[in-house]
Amino acid sequence: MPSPGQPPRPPFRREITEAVRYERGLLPKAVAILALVAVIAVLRTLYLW
Amino acid sequence: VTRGLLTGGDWLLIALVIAGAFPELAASYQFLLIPAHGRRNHYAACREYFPRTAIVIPAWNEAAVIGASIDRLMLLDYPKEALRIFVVDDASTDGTPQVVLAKAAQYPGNVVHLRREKGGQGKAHTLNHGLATILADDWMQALLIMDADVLYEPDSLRKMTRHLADPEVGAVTAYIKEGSRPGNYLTRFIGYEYITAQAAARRAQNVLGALACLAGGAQLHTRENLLAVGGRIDTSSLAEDTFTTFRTQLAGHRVVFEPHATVWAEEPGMIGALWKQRLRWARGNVQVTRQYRRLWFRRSPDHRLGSASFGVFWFCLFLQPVFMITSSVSLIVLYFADFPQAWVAFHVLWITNAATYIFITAFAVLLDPQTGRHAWREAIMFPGLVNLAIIVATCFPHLSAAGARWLAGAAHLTAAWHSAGWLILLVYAWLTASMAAAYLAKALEPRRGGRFLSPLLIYVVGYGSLLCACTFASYVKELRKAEMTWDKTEKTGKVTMPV
Repeated sequence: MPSPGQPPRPPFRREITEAVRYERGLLPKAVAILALVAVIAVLRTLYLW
Repeated sequence: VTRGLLTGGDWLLIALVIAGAFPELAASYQFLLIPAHGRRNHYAACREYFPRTAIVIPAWNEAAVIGASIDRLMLLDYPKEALRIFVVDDASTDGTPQVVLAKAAQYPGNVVHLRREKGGQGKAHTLNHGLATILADDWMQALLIMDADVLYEPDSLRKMTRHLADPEVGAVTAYIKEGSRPGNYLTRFIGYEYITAQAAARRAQNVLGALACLAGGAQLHTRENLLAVGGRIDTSSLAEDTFTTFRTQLAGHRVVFEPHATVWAEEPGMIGALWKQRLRWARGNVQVTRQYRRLWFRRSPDHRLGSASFGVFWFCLFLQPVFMITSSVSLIVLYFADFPQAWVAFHVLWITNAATYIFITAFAVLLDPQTGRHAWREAIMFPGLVNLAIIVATCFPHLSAAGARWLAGAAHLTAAWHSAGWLILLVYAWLTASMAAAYLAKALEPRRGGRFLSPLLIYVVGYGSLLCACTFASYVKELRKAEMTWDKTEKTGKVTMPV
């Protein structure tokens, strides 16, 4: 069904798996940013008050 | 000198000051819900599904963009026999009919030109003209409502229709990204804003099971859902998209945001045009809030629109100017009544704002790295230079005091000048003053030198303050029962899809 010149469509299940993997990958990103905010808060409290 | 025990009035003022951080805290809560989207999503119920889809495009004087949009739609990775494009020409006076008729000849059976001889009533009326024709026979199984300038990525429609395989789903929306290239400072601010307002907020709403708004440029409905909401789009308000979204959910149908279906739209590059667009949206939100006043914070077995979290999200955004004005007025009253408490409340407010700013900005850029790379300066400058300076001054007082002393020394200013109370008062009033300054940027834009001064002013006062000023203006317009005019956003065809 892809138009001529378009790449073949990836298998449906693979697309779903990739989407879910991307969404699950957001948790470590959120944790890393929260850790960054916490580190800034601790450093500021300990050394710059 | 402190006065010992705080009075009830002091506590109230302190609470109102700190409440100024509620909108940012609510936004952070939304971002905290995003990781749950890895588990609470709709992908398990998706199936490969290609319903016969009618695409309806309301068009008024869209000759510059409509041809490219139709060409892009014909490149969709979707069965062509299951695709019909209905352009509802709202009495255009430019070359729109000719462009559409040429495309109808180029793609026979796929493109239909519908003409309204008397137009100008607004998008909802135009859509209804198309809906009446489309619903007249039973060919259509799904209906995609889009805008004439929007470009769909080839896989976007099928990524949306896969959710319709679940009969509980009534509508699906996509991630609309700002696609003006090369664009300017304002389109980059909008690009970043859309990460927070769509990629982030709508993921969180997927988790909650309640969606605030199907994007006007990308809303896909099942036929059953369209019939359930009356077979037509609401024409009584300026927020027909939001009304349709609420009605869908109140009819017991689920609404899904598909973050991996990407479409590209051209957004305003001038503050004046943005103001018109956002004023219309904000007035629409006032109308929705009033219309559904018995829905908020009341749980229902049929939908999740009454959940506490959804209500908090809605009202923290809807009332953001109120929170900002109340916070700064309370700070100023405290300044005169009890200066030390004002100082403490001010620091609590801004340290909270600092933490939420770092979290939201960093997460937003990671959520959509492509837009993040394009608009990273605007992501950082979203609150504006003054707010960032206040954040640094409250979080790192010694550093900022040393900096202020250095600056004052370099400028040969006296100590009395740079520690003057008026400066503190100005900072305390800034949350409100920033909205006035943002309005000034809008007012200056069409004047001489405005094209240089206004962008500068927006970087100083913040794009967020501009949006808040617009929301405040919407309250005034609605209170005055101002006429509901449909100010169409002009499109020039400068949107491209980055490879």
